[in-house]
Amino acid sequence: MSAGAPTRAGTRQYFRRLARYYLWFTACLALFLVALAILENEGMPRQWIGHLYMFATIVLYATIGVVSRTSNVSEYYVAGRRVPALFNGMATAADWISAASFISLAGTLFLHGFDALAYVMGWTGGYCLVALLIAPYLRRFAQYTIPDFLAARYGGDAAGADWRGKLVRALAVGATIIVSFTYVVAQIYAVGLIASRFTGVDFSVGIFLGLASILVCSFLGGMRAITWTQVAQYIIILVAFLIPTIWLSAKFAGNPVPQVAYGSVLPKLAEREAQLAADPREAEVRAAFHARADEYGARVADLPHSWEAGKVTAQRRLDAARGRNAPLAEVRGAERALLDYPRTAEEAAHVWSDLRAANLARAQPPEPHAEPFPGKTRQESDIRRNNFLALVFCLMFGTAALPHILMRAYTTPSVHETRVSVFWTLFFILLIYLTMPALAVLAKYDIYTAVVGTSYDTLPTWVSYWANVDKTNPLISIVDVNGDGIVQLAEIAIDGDVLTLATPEIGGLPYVISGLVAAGGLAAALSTADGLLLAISNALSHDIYFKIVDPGASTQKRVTISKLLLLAVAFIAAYVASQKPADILSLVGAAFSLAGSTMFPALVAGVFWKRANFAGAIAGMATGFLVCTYYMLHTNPMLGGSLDGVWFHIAPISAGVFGVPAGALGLVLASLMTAPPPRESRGLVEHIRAPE
Amino acid sequence: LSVFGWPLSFYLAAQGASLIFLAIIGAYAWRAAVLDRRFRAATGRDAA
Repeated sequence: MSAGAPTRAGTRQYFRRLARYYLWFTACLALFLVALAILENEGMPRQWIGHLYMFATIVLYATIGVVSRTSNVSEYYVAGRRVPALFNGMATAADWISAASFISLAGTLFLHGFDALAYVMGWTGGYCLVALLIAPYLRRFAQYTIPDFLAARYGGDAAGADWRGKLVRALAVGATIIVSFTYVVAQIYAVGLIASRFTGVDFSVGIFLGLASILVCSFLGGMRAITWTQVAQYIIILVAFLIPTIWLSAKFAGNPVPQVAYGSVLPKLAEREAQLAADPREAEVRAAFHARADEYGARVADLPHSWEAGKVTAQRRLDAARGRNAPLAEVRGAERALLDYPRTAEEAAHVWSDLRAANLARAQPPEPHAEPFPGKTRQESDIRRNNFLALVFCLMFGTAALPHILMRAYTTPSVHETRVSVFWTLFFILLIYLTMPALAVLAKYDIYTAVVGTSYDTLPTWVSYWANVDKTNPLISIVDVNGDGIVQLAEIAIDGDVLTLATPEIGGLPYVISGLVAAGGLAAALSTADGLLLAISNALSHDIYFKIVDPGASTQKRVTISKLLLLAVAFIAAYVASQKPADILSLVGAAFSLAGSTMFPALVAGVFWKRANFAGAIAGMATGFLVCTYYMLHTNPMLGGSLDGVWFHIAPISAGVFGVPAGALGLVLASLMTAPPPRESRGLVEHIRAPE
Repeated sequence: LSVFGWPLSFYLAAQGASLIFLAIIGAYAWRAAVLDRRFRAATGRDAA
């Protein structure tokens, strides 16, 4: 153990003090909510409430950051290795629950039913791998980063300071940066979205507000500051998620425990689904979408003539509108139609094919929510099952190789505490994750019964509110396609993101709770961004600068360099996010495949297979990375591939299902073909496996 | 297949699997702690 190890009594006292702080914090949060509720009752405008939440939470995180500021290397990189298991678990849970988990997961479950449970299973199962195969051994190793471990294990000497160690380290740093950067851009993007939707500030202003709070916190105090901020953020996330869900469950199912309550709603939902699937008016709307899809299909087939003809028609319509002095709105509409018209025949082929697919998708009858892998044929159903399993596999192995999660194994006082901390991590994650499927079912049942089938004049207010929040990319849109004045299910288009955000309003709760949910989403995005930025800047400063470029650097200099790099990385990420890069955002899921394929085999073989050597590690990481990237490039339409190239019908997001075995195989073969590792490496394996 | 009117497959995927994962981690942490203690007793080392 490190010098100055806390005594057992000291640890207990420290734990009590922390618990007292956070109980106070929770009490203050409750008071704050009550105060806001009273203010709202007195007529405080919604906008103000949104601003107040944003301001209060950012000030809170910044304060924790200032209080926990540090320049000590051990405090900065691993929070002094004295975070008690319970709190480390909470912080890791906040680290883990990203904007995507908090905001989009319930929506994904809502939209995709059983298929989306792959996310719940994969993301929780990954912690089994972390707990059993990796985390305790990393803690026993007791350095600072993941590349540290790989370099020491596969390098020529135990310090990992020869050229082999440096090469392994550089590869691991590369993988860390690619994976974490994609992820952090998505988090900062989410910060911008939430801020702009709830406070009305500009998207980029929202991004930089969020960035400010991330920076004050991690810049001043590194791991120590983000750990204590993340614990506070977890409490906010939990409260923000559970209050509306419990309310909804009590309201719709008469039972405040959503996990139990939704069991009784599921059969009713299935009944309603069957009813809607057979409804003639629904069929009418679906037929309308089918006709639109066919029209786009015909246009695509008739290229390039259809493109030329369409352009002429659009031009004529504009001329005609101008010619007869039509109302301004009509002229503007015609102008816009002409402006938005595809510029070339190739672009038209692309746009129209997408529109065809979108319309076709809406022409499908609703899928039964609880039925696993529905399909018209046996084969179709099997493909869906295989994809489900492949996705679970990738998410599990990806989770077990995410640097910002593994990094937290270093921060506890002992190996035992690390094992317990992974338990608490999953426990705290499950408090949220086990509620998600319930929330999705409850909300779906409400929308299927309370919105579908009502008249357009009596739509609930939350529908119109959320339809107008984001004009360019509406979160929910309901259009009377067949003109009968009644809402049909097929007429509703919902963006999954709206579900969590709108839950309070669906349940008829006051706006204070909506603001709280937004603050929860913000906390989820910020906490994950904090952890990721620290992982990236530590990889650059500790692994690249200190271990490779300038091993003689003073501790003061190391921490300063790390802080400067953090600043630089944060600004680059914010800049990239402010460009709204659609391709990066769609790649976040792919980051799991990439992380798993590249890092997982090397990490696990490093602990469990003494024969694994330098050549094996390099070969394993390279093969895993290359196979995974090749499959994604080859099959993902966003990256210029085509879905025709898929192997065994596995979707591009699950590239890791080929990458992980390929990486493992590469590692084993290359290790066996070259000389066994030096005695130091075997010594290290024995050391990390031995009890403390 | 349904138990007490609940679709079992859905419930297992949504909640059961995750709870089993949690149980595995809990059992592992507990068992490893016991082994650690025994090892310390056997080697006569003081608890760190």
